[in-house]
Amino acid sequence: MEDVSVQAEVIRIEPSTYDESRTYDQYVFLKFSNDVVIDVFDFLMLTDQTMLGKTVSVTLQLFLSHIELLSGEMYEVSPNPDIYRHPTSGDHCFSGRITAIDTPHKSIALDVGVGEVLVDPLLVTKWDYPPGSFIRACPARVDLFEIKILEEIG
Amino acid sequence: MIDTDDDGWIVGKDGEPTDAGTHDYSAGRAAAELVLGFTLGAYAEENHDNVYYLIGSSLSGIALFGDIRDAGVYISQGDKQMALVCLIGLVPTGGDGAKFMTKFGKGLAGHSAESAAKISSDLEYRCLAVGAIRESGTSEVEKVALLDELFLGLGTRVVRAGDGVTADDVLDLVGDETKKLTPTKTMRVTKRDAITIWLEEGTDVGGWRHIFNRHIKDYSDVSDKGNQFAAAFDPTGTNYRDAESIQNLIFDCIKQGTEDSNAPGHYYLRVTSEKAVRVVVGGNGFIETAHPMDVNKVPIPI
Repeated sequence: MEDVSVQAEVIRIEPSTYDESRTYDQYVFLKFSNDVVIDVFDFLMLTDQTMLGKTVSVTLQLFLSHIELLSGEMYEVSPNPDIYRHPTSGDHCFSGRITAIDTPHKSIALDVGVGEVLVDPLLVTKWDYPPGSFIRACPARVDLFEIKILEEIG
Repeated sequence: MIDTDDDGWIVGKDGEPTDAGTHDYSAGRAAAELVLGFTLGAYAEENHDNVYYLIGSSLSGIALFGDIRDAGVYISQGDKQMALVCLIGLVPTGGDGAKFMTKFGKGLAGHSAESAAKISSDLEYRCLAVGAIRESGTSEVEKVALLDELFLGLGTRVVRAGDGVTADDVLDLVGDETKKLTPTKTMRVTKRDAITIWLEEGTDVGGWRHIFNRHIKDYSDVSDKGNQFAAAFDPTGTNYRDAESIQNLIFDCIKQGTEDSNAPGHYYLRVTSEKAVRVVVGGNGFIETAHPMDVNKVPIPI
């Protein structure tokens, strides 16, 4: 499953684990083309302040996801509704159509309308989600694995 | 010899941070607290919540007033390093050493947990306590007991946890002036490649509290919103449902995992065929964070 990605604008970067001398991982707030904003976990420290305001292509993995089958078509990214919470990149939910399944790695490519994300399923023992079916995935974290700058806004 | 941050300590002297907020007491007040502690002793201890008063109080009846006054002069002049050398020189040996350690430990235990944590993290307290234990020349078992007494159970917590460290390793760590640590909140200690690595209760941004808040939240909630360790490594079983088993995994990763040579302090250990644990250790040996991840996303071969 090559090039599973979604486009977004980098709007904020917030350190997660840090001390006086260094930041070890961070949360990056991304705004998708439908204006939905979510925070994602950047433990590889792929983003930096120079990317703020820029449009990027990112590979996101929905880590340890609970999955449910949807009865009809739905494309949606639902951010965690608690605006007062600490960023943990959790409690966001993604609905969309399965475009591919990588069985050896038990990974799913999911088209959520604004692009594609990778889904790492949690507690899924029966693989009755063929490509084309619509699912809702709620991950423990959204991990950032790759980022490419596309263009500068403004 | 300039005190640019106006905290009473000379900027540029060893151990002097530029952030004035790191000192609760000005140099003049600290010296006064030392002498007051020596003079008033335990009588007024509850109103003096600081390491200088505790040192003075613990040395009361053991050291000479003139020696205390000399240490106080260095403190009042903002010369933290000389003050520390002077105070360490006052640590008694023999029977007086035992008396000092008893008073020092009991004085610490009399404070609230948070206040004791702050005092135990002060370099003055750490160096005097470590110096006293070393001077006592006791056996491993007795050193563990003294670490317990002077740092609220530290010896039992970290030496007897079976992570491969001795009481002397812990004394080296606690007495290391270059390391910022809180002994009463230190949970586990181990060594890898001669580097001492430790886990502290920590804060929201690093240490066990950070790991819990960001990657566990609730031990029994094996779901997308809860315990990521249990969900990643044993979703249908019973492992990784408590602090001890998750901390064991973190320490297994440090001891047996693979370090990323491009990112020193980043350790990875494969736990299942598909999932690995990542542990990040700061340059000083403090465990910053740990969390599960996909094996195929680990940046190095494991």
